[in-house]
Amino acid sequence: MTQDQIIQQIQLGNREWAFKELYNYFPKVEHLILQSGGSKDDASDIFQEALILLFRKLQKEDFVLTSSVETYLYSICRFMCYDRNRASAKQVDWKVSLDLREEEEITELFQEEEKYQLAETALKTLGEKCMEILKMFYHQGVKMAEIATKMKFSSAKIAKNQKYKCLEKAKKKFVELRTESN
Amino acid sequence: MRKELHDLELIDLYLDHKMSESEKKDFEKLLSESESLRQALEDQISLRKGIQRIALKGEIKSAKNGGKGNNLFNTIGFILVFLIVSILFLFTPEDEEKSIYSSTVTSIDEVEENQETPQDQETEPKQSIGNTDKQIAQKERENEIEQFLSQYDEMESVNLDSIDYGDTIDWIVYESFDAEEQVFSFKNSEGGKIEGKQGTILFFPKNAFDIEGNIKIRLKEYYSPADIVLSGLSTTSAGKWIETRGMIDVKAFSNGQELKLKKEVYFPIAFPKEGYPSLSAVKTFYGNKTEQGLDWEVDSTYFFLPCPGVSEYDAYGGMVWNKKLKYIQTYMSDFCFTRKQVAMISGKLVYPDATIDFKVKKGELLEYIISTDYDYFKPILEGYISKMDKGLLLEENKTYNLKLEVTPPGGLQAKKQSLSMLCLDDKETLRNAQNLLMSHYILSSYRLNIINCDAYVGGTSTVKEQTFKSTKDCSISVIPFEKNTYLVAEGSKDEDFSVNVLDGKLYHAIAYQRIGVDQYAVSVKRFRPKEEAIVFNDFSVMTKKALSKKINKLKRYKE
Repeated sequence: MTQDQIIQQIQLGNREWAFKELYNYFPKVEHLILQSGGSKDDASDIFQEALILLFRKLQKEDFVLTSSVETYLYSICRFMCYDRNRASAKQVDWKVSLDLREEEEITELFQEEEKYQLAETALKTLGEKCMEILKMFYHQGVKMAEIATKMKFSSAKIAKNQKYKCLEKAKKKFVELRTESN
Repeated sequence: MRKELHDLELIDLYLDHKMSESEKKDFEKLLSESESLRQALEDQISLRKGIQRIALKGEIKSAKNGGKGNNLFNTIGFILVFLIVSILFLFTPEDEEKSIYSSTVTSIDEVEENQETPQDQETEPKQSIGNTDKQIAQKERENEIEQFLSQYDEMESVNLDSIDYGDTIDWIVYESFDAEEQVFSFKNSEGGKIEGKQGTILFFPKNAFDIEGNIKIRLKEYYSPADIVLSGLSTTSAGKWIETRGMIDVKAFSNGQELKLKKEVYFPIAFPKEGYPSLSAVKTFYGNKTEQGLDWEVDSTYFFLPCPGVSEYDAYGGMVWNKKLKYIQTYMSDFCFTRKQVAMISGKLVYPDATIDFKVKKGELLEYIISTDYDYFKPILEGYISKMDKGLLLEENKTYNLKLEVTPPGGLQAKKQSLSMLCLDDKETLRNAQNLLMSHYILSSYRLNIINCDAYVGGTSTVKEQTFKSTKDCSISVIPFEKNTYLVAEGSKDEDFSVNVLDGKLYHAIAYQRIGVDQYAVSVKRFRPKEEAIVFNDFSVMTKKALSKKINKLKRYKE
């Protein structure tokens, strides 16, 4: 798959296929992380996070990728590894291979993503069925009537109210976590 | 809870870019004025991104496990697990096998129960989601009603020291309220576009009336629940409930004489959608005053629209349109889909699944927008995408293919459909027409006077007669809690009142009487149908404005 095809597949919603292709770059990233003192688990986490940030970048209306997908992905991983090592006071020498604008952009993406990581933590306190409803509605775009049928609610209205309750619960937790982190 | 839910719905519509331009503008204005709404928006963005993260991680994990390098390991792993399980199954006694599995399996219910916070347990019974849907539904309903009615209970009545309440009210019966009359005029030879204050638009074609000179149109609009109730209007058609999206009363005059439309002239009416949820399958209904009160007659005449040049017309509906139009004109047609169903375009017959060629002459039709509410009846003009989002500029003397596609092939003699055809002169009108179709229901009418934009209320329920008693002369309107339907109880103080309602539903009954220039005596009861009569013996006095506000709140109408 070419770079353009990968980008297209992600934008069309055929993400799993694109992610599978992108995992071809994982060994190089894993090598980088291990070399800088990280573990295999660190490498998996970082690469996963990098894929999410790449996805975010591609969702932006004004996105422009001046480097290759591989370089961009690698740079995100490097940034995160640097960030983690900085947190654990490990010294690593980095070479810059992206242009300054892209470096700044990754920083911005990363900072924005921290908020969403907090939301993710809050959402994980919900039950499995709550998450199922929310994923179906917000990620898969499933209509309420269909969610009601799948989740065995008596009506779309009940499903909607349940969705609202799940969100409210998550929001409460999210606000708590945000207050604690501030 | 209702406000928060409403705000959340708005926020989701905004984030999904599903608002019209004007809705978006209004919402952004609200955002600029409300810190809490801005925060709610930010929180919802974060939560949606959080949900996306969780979902993406799932996809990434699947992609990772399905990756090239992993397949071999997965296969070997699977084989090993299979072997181990097989060995265990063969050599392990039953009891031990059970103990291996039962300790590792956790039910979804258990997980959910473990994750419920103490606060949840205080407010709701400890139960799994989905297990007691009826209980949840019942509780939801009750909470919703309580929430809704608690705002209704804030009375806004005038404190008139000189007037006593209850039996000592000075009960002078005044003429009932009617909506404001708006007057417009246009030349019959030019036709006219009339825009009412509440958003109704009427398009009168040229020479719609059989006279020369100017036409005076008198228009009254009834959209809010208060306007409908206080004008004594109701929404039933031959005993069936219909749900309204607005009513008008339109009369035409010339030199003081009331006019009728010429035969076979239809004029389009656009009823604004704002204020209520969008309703599909709306039709034109005409108000007929009967001994029993107002009855609405559905417009079925366009089943039999004449098709010039066609001697045999074996169909239930059709459409004809005029090529020389200066403004929006729609011809509505209800189709029963059989193989014999036809349509007429430019004087030629078109059968479903067939195509027709036609050409455009200079100065005539420039653009078509073809819209349909239903997916399985699609008129397809080559290169054109239906659903009102595009218009095709037709070139002179070029042959076009118009096809009426019915899916499934052959058609179904099932539902009635409607097709609107908009014929326009220029791109600006095209844009305006597109906007209009989004913001209004467009119907056509061959009559004047009282016209209603309604849809039949579906569902089945037992009909029950509910009786009322009143100690005073008054009118009684009954409003179902849910549908935008209005019923008027027939009767009087001396003979009791009665109305047919659907059993088991929740209603508000409003007994009211205008007793002063700006004074109404009012009593409101909420009820589910019961055997005994409901008695109105406790009236309060309030201004029309206060009463209108109260009635509008019953239907959660925009103020």
